[in-house]
Amino acid sequence: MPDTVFPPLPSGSVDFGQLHEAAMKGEVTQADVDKATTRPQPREAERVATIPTPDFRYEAKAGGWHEITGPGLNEPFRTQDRAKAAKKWDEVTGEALPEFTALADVPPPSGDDA
Amino acid sequence: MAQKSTETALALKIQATPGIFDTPTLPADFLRVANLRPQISSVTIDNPEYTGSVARNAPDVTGKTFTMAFNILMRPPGGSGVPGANEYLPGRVLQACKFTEIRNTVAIPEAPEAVGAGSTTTKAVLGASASAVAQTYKGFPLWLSDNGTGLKRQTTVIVDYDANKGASLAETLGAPPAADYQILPFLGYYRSVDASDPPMLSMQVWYGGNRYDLVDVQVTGLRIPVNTSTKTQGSYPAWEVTVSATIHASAAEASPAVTPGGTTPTFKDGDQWLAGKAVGGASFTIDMGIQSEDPPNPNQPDGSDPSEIVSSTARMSMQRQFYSKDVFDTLGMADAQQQHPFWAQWGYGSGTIIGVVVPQARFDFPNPDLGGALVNETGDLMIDAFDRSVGIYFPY
Repeated sequence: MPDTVFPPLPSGSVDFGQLHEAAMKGEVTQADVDKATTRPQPREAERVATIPTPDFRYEAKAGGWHEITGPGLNEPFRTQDRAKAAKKWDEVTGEALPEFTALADVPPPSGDDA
Repeated sequence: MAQKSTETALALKIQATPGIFDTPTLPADFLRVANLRPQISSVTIDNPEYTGSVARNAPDVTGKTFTMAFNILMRPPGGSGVPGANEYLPGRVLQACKFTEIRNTVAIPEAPEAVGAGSTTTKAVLGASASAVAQTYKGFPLWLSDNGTGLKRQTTVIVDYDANKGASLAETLGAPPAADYQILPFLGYYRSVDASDPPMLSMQVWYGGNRYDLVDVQVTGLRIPVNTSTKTQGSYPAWEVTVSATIHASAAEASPAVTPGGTTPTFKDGDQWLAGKAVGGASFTIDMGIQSEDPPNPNQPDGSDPSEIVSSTARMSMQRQFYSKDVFDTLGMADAQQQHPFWAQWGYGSGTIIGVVVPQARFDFPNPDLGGALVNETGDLMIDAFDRSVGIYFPY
């Protein structure tokens, strides 16, 4: 019978005590490794809403971040304060930042079919 | 008032989701760094249009890349027990560089146990409480009660472990172990060779009176230089890190205060073993040889997805004493291209000892150096892509 070999360990933080318990039973499976490994858990969808205009782009992102990109901005304007984002959006586009909470509420980009 | 270089700080967190900045928790997430070297490089396109004259339009500035280099002194975590998952801050950087964090919080076995029969000066046969799965303890610190005095001297390292519980050692013991053993509690970081992606980091860095929030921070270079501290010259072992990132936000904000981190052990009064021999030398450096790429993606504001590690070819360079060939034949070992272990260990006591292990490496041809009063040689060690082929551990 061939020797059982410890499997390669993945990225993340491994609690070796759990793996040792499995090893003492004669085999360490991938399921054992997965169970003993702590990996970062994605919180939510990366992007929840986007408003493109011909020049500027507004994105409401996960984590409560508001991001505005476009010409004249050296780097994206980012804030977790919606009032500040609305003020900036008004400055650069002359429009009010619409209220929306989900992707379904976001108007389609100009030029796309509704 | 002018801005001062010392008024600099860095905090970091493992980022859960690509593209989403995770704000570090202060002061717990402050990472003590030195020699911070941020660099913003312009991306330009030469404008090829004719102008009706010999004068040409200047290039268009189309973007920027942000990279940053810094050093982390190799300071062990300390404390009375193994830190929790992801708590050791330099370990977050190592994880982002495709190292696995291994936490062994309880000694194996919990009480010292007698070594098995058949041990030699280079192999300890473990007892009934040890695993019979090959390579279970590869790269792990092993305590042998009759291997000298004190935790540091009694601790050696396993470079190969077979299914018959034979633990091959990096050092050659004075006599076969005949008393007790334990796999010590330890926090370790070991090179991972599976296909899982390493985590990204979010960072906040303060310099020049500003705070920059960096998202999608990816390690693009890691070197581990360890210089011997001699009677006349001291040197900090360190991790030299290079990262690439996207500037997520910035603000005018003075650097917060970062409290002192305590003593960093220097490399002396320890062990340096190569191919089963204690060798003298001035330094060794492990370079993880990382290559990264920015996947093109026009949906992203800067036209690229976050940088990703696409390759890592590790090697180690050494500056060591030259030995006559009947003592240590490095030329012959380079000819033979067999695998040999390297191991270094230094520090003080529980939680403040550092071990660096390369369980298998091949000799490159060495170059003798007669430029000084002593005969030295420089030579590389080739590190193949075995699991746990580079390890850094802190025993308790």
